[in-house]
Amino acid sequence: MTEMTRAAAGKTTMRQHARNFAKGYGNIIIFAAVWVAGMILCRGKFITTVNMLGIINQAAIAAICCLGMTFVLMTGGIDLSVGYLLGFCAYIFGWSTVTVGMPVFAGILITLAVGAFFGFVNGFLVQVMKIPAFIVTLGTGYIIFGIAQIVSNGKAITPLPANVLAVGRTRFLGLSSMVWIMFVVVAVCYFILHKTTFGRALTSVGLNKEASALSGISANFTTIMVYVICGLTSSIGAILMAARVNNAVCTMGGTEFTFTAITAAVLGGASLFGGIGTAWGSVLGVLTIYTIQNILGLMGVNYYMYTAVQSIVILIAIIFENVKNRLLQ
Amino acid sequence: MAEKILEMKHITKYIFDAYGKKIAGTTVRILSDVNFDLERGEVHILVGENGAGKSTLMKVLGGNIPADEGEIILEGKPYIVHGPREAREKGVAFVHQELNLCLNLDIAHNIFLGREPKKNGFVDHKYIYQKSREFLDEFGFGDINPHTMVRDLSTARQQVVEIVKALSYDSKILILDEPTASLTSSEIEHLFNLIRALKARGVSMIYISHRMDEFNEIGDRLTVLRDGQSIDTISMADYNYDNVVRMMVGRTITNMFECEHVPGEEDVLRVEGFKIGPDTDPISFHVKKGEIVGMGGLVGSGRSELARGIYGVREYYGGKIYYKGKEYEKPTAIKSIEKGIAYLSEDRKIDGLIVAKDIKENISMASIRRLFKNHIINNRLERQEAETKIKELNVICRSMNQLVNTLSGGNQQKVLFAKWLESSPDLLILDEPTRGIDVNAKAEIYSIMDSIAKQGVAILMISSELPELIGMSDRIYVMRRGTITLEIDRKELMTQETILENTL
Repeated sequence: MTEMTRAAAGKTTMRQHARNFAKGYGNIIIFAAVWVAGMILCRGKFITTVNMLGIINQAAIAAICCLGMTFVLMTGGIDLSVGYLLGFCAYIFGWSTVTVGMPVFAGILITLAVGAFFGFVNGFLVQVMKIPAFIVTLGTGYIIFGIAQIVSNGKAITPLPANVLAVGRTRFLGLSSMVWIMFVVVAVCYFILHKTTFGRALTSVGLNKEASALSGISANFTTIMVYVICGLTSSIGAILMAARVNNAVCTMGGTEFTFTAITAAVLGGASLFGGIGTAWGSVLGVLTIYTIQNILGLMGVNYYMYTAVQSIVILIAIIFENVKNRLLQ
Repeated sequence: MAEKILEMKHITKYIFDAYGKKIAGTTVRILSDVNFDLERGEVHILVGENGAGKSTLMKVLGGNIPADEGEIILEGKPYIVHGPREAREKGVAFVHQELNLCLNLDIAHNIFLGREPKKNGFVDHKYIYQKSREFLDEFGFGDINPHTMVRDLSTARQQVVEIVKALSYDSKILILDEPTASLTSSEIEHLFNLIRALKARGVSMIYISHRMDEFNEIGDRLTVLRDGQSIDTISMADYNYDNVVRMMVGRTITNMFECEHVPGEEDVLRVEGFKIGPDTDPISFHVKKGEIVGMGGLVGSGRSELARGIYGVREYYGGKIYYKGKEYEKPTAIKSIEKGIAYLSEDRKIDGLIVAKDIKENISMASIRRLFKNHIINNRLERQEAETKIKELNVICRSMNQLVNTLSGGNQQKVLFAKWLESSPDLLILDEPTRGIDVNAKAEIYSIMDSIAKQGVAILMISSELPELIGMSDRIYVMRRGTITLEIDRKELMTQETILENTL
């Protein structure tokens, strides 16, 4: 190669820097846009310590589940059973600790095991039976919901053990224990996703299965594992949600929750086609969605308008991402 | 002299992207100033080695991709099309080597696919069957029922359907891309009869084939393409086998292939009785330490299947693999990498590299187990390794964090080499190591191969480029129809003619 092309290859212009930023950090741009909108629409009510902490406290549980979803999305899959699994796990937690009267620690372990088990079933059906993730998880989601309704007879379990509620109510530096647990989960997920060979393997599988296979990266193990991880984060979310509302009922979560987890991950920069996504981006995505909800609340928008407005905003954000990616190609 | 129905003048096509658009800034030509013409009612044979540009030229004519330079004249009028559909409407029909039929539909609906006649706003199925019946009768296939599902037809019959479909557009020109590749001899005879019948009706045909024995039977004229250039057009009266082979082969550049490595004595790989398919003949061969062994043959002769079988990503049907003197049983990619076997696949974008990832992650990709023993990514180590390999192989890039899909083909290929050299192999299986890269990058790849061999690595190189095969190999095997048909172990016996004779 000649000296001239070498020089051309070595030059990074301002414009390229801007493009790279827009490409890699579109989620920040969207988040900032929502904030600016909040400041304009809600004036002083939006930027207050109480309101900010409120948003974070509310977003914590969704953020945990969204991280699990991010793992699945990174392999090019999707998990539509998250919301139903959350409801079922919440019920299992209440049942084991209240109805059976197990120690809380044992109840937590059982709940996590149930979450991991259904995650494994999802992963097995997707990877080994080669059924599209969309169909598998839609099916298992309804099955889980059905089982939950039969087992629980539609009843809610309340109150939960006092020590569970105490943990739920604990605050430190203005942040609830849920947020601190979220920080731990984020840190763990960040480490797995970005610092381990497993994280590397799952981005590889998500981007190019054939090349990964030739390079000795097993799609079977990674794909099944991501669904297990997603099941685990759903069960963690279930325990926290039950503790927060002092109630364990299988109707918690549901499709709306699944929808939030997926859109948050996408808003955070994860690709529905796999391979692309970050732990911090997904947390940012959840914060974006809860900020939108918060703004709607502050503006006094009719509660029944929430879902509609939220969906429109999210759709716009996703279209923006899409158009941007195509323009920058 | 007969009337010219088609003239393609000075056609030039640069390497192109997925949309057929010229890649910005490239100077690599697939077609360079090609001239081609077709007379009414003739069968014009187009020959050339793999990669000579036959398919590209026909894709230009068939409207699949636009030409960058040059003009096409059809029946005295300029011919400008923007897609295969438009080309078909203007009377140019393309019967591809891989048939493009919907297996889940019946014959009639395949013939009318995409132009279903309507009656009162609904598809007129009755007319479709009626008309298909007429078409089939017209071309002498009264025994074929248009209600038959294409899935239930033999390959030869599917081809007939494809041809009938093409002709149902009232085509003046029919492009047949290796139509006999998967037919038996009696089916071929049938096809030839059909071709003769069409010729009598005044249909002009362009016939692409590798089978020299067919040419005399049906051809009128023959054009040879080589390296994207039209070498000569001759009448079949002047046809001479040796002459055509010589035109296809051309002259060899010799200085690109200067090698210093000396093959060792011990076998690194020995394969015995290996069968790539249930019905193919067994294959036995060996590769020595520090030796470059070439594997020639046509695309589809089973070379990649052999390589993938040994590497452990494809099933095989019996036979034994010995690696460094020990039997290697039940190969898998993971085991192969651990043992020091590397396989550089044919298509770097499909299964060689992850082009949406950066250079550094691609380089460490096949070696993550060896580099990061405790499963935690050591960024510093990864950067060091990437830096060393980038320097060693002279990958031209802004930084190791650059995405691979922003690199030129030659540099991508160097990253692919870097990735597999990083796994410190003792046996390197190369599948078309210089496909689609420019001459400079080729020369660099050759010198990399030479220096790897000098370090004692055994190299098995699959290549369809004869100059490269002859220039780089210490020994050559030639494959045909799933098995090895020839071994050449002396440099002076390696001629393009010998190899070509054994591949066709």
